[in-house]
Amino acid sequence: MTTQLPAQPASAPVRFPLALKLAVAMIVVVTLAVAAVSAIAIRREQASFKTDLQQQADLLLDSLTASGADILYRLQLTSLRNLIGALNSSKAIVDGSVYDDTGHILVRADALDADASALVDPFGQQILASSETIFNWQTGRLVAGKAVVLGRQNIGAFSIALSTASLDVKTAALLNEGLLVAGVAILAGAVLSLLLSQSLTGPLRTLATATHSITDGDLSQTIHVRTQDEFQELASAFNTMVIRLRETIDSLKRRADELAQSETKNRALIDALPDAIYLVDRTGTFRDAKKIATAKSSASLELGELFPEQIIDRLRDVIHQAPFVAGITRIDYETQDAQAQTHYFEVRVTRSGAEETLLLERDITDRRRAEEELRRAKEAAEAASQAKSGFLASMSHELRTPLNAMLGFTSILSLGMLKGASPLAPSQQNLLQKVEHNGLHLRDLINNVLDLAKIEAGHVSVVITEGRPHVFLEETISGMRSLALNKSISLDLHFAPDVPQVVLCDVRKLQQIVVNLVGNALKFTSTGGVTVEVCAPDPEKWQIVVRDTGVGMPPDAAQYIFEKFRQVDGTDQREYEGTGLGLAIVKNLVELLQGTITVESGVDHGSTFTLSLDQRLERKTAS
Amino acid sequence: MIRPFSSKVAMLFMLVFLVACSTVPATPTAVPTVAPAAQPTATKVLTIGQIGSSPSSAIPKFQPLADYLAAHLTDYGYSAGSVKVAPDFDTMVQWIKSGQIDVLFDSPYPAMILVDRSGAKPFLRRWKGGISEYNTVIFARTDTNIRTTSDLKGKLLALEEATSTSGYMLPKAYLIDAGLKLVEKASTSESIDSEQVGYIFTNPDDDSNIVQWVISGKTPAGAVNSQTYDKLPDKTKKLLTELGRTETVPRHLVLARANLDSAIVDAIKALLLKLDTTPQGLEILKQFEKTAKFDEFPGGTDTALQRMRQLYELTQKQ
Repeated sequence: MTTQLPAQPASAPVRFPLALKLAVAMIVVVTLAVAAVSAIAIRREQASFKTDLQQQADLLLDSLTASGADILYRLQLTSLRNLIGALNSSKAIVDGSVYDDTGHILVRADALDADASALVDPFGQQILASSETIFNWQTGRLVAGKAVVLGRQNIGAFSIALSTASLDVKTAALLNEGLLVAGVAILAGAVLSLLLSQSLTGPLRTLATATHSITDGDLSQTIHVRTQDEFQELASAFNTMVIRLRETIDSLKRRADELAQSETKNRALIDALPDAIYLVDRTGTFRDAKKIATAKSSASLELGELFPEQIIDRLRDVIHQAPFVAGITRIDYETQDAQAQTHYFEVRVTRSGAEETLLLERDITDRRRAEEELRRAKEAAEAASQAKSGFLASMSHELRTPLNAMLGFTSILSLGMLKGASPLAPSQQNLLQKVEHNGLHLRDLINNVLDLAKIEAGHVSVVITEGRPHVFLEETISGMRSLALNKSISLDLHFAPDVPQVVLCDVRKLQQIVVNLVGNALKFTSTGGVTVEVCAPDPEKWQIVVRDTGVGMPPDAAQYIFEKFRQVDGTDQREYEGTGLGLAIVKNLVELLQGTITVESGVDHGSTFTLSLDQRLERKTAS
Repeated sequence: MIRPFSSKVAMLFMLVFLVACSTVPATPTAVPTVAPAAQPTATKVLTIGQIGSSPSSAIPKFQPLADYLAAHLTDYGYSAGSVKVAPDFDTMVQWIKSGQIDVLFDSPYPAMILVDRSGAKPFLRRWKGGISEYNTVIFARTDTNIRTTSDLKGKLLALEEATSTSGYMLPKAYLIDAGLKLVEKASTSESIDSEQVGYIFTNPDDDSNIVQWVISGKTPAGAVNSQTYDKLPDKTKKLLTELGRTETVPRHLVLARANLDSAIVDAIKALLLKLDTTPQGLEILKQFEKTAKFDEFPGGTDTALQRMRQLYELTQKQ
């Protein structure tokens, strides 16, 4: 399998190398940073110089005030002139003045011999109006003034002017130093940035060369970078990527071979299938097809021609929806051939990929015909069974009516209740008793047959209600104690503590089951007794266990004793009479109650019947 | 009496030179802030007067008391207090007479002069420096062999100034009373008659100058008030020999101008007498040259001035 890659444009020559860009960017950044730092430093130094000059002026004014307050108080002009004249000896102090308490200039350093001014000096007034030192920055000098206050008296003020020449010299020197430092920093930054750029772009070029080789199909390329930084990490990752890429390509080749083999197998398998197989897209357009000989051998690759009109619309819908539906959708149809023979087909539609749908068409005519025959046989058997059950029910009823009449008359004769009749002789009485006994046995047989017939005919309904086991089972067992008493054996009923007080069940049918099981146990027990134990082994079940000490039966008898008309002693001379229907009725009733019944027994070891019932039966009323 | 101005100018010149040469930024100093000067109003200003060579030193000490008195005399029309420092007696006498000064404080001898020349009236005693009265100690350097006042003949004695009670009037009267003849000398190099005691004035307002003059040998003997002498360190005292102590006089007097309303004088008197009974008053007294309190003269004002006048007359006989 090969993939056609789009044509790559030829790589353009590098006009602006990354190293150059990085170097230019870093030089610009360094230049801006150094310029900004230098500007800030110069500004701060200028501010510091100004502050220093103001502090010097303030200090001088404090000294002037301390030295001249008393002579200013006395207005001793000569002394004041001497004081201000002393300022002229300093190059730093370019002027000085003394003001009286109204703002008039008393003495000026540049005109010591002049008389006091008659005009009020605005700066003097400004000084006198403030409790702080007043600073006035002028071209080439700083003028500072401060009022002299003694007690509450503003007695005048002093002012001095300091030359800012030293400040200008310092600022110029600072600017020169800043420019020199900036130049050196920029030069150093440029060299460093070039070196750094080279160290960055070298590994990148190596990576680019290796990438080009891989693009050309050479997967044997590896990169060796020993820069101990992210580039080395990148080179390592690149080498790992190349190895992974090589492994992936090898793996893809192996998988392509395996896929080709698998496709060959699948094609053989498809060819071997008897079905016709079509691959269509969502619009019903055929993409692939495997046709085999069918009754529709002349079909073409059009839906309308392949399938009958009756399913075309439905088939189109199913094909359209198939990509979005999980599982298989089945569509059956039938056609008639030229001999008017009907043929049956099924079409299975399933998703095959995101945009394709698979159609499998199979001729199911033979299977459909076999199923039809089977259905007819089943219906016939069910009808026969129902007819049999109906017949038995009807016959049992018809038999029971005259039998009851016979039993009634036999009882009247036996009890001498017939008016005008002479007493029966003992031999007659004996015969009558045999007639009555056999009549009763025949009635039981008919009743059991009738019950079984009803069950099998589906005429017995289950009524699930709440019942109290302690009550209805005690009531059932109490009614049978006389039978045990007549045989001088025991009949006990025990409830385990975990037995629920109320259960959901069909009480009548459960009583019928228990009567059957206990009746059987009493019948086959001559010594010892019968024990009925009720328990609840888990929260979902409860059990009734009927255990006797009777004759028991072989272990393999459990396989058939629940069948109709089956007893362990199947001989004509059997000791225990019975219809052989009791346990069959019990089993049917147990199944109606969704329970199970098992038996454990051994010859001369008694029998144990265990009836298990669900505690969670749904409540159901008679319908 | 006035400190030579040339020394102040020299100090300023030195400071200017140092500041101009300084390359290290000066340590920032807090700019002193002062309350704005009281604006003149139609109400009266109570003015305290003082004679001195340094108004800048005296006014801050006197101003709180002036403010306090003015604030408590509003009923008499005063709304502000002020301090005026006169350079000499003549100026002060003129100010008192013209009503520019209401109250002033001074030691007995200058007080007597002011009373005599301006009519000012003393009305209370001031415990300046914490003491009610004081005297003068006359002493000599021990290595001069001057042991008594008689040994001062032919020697030079350092005194404070001609208007000082303890620095002039008391020691001069004491020595005249002892039979000595005192002659003022302008410099330490002038010759002294062997039967006379020469005296020379040192810088005013500073007793420590006199002790320094004696210790350094500029003069063999000197006289200072007892308060100054008693506080000298023992090491210094060992170098000196005490020749005698003068009689005791009141430390300071409080005076009012002659034409000040007696009711106002009484009110000021009452305020000053109870000044030491409140925390605010004690704080003002402390700033006012560590004054302990004000009280009445034990023997009356006339007695105090009369003795001073006797001493004055004694000194005038020579």
